[in-house]
Amino acid sequence: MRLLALFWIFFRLGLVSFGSVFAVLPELQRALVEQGFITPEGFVQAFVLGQVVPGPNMAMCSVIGWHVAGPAGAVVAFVGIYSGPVAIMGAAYAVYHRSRNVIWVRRLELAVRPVVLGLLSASAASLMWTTAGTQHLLALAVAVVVGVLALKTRLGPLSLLFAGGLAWSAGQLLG
Amino acid sequence: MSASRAGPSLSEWLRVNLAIGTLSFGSASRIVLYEDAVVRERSWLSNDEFSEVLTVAQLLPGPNLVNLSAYLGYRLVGPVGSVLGILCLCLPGAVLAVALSGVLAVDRPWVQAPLRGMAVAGIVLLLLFLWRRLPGLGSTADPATPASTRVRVARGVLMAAVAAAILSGASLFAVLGVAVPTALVLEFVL
Repeated sequence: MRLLALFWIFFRLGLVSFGSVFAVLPELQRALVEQGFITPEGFVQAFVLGQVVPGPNMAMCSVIGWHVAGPAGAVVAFVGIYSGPVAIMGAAYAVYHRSRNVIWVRRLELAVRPVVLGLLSASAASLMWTTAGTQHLLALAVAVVVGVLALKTRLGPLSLLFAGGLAWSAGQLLG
Repeated sequence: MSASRAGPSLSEWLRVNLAIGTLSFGSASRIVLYEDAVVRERSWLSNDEFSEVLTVAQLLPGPNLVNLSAYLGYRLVGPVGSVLGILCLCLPGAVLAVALSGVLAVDRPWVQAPLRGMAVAGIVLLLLFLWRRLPGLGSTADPATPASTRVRVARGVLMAAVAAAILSGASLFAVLGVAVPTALVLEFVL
């Protein structure tokens, strides 16, 4: 039952994960925390692990699955989050490849853009809130440091993640 | 299928996915890796067809990278090859992330601090990605004509309303149920 509930959470959010799993982070966190699968802190840790590994960011889902129910949980989360989108793309290929209409697809994509960007903004804000905990100033300072590094240097995403880790540790030691 | 040569063999396709699944970081740059592999280095697809496939991948739910690989897989090597390609793309990162979560004693304070800093950095990366996508709200289906101010403002308001609704605790499915029809009306009716 537990595995089934876990599968359902990932599967149904996979079906609406426009752009990436990041679009559905607040809902994913709420569903998992409500059913007692993970704490908000554990959720943030899974987010980080999903970011430091190569490949799609959905890797965080397998981490959560493993945390809940070991190997079976990891498999259930992996299949749950990916199966919907992959099936939809199969259907899209079957239908669309025969009667292609570029303008129509472009207009649909334009139409959903504001929705996708709105979802991503909400995810960023909600995750920042969870991550900061009680240390709002420190979180803000680290964000500024990483933002400046990202805009003023040519550091890659992985280096920026580690820079953020260093900045928080340094801030904690100093303060 | 104008300029494209014969497609890849299954093993060639899986090798492309495995390479991207093990060696790539940062979401936006990885789309380019597929473009390099499929269009520039091997000409399995024409440039135009690739950008059309990318638009389909961005339109439908699912991570852009996974959708792109899935559609290209169906197109180039068939359904079985597509699913195997997805496994090659996604499994390495998933296994590595699970392994790391087992090794790290995440409840220790000296692990917690850097993890939090990395989470903040990840959020900043997400914000920068968002920032780069914002000008896209000013486009129309014809690349030569920008959208009118009225359309831009309407799209901006819709984006802000979606964010505000989610942050105020509304259910994702309820928000999508209202926002997606609104977005369609905005694009096709107004």
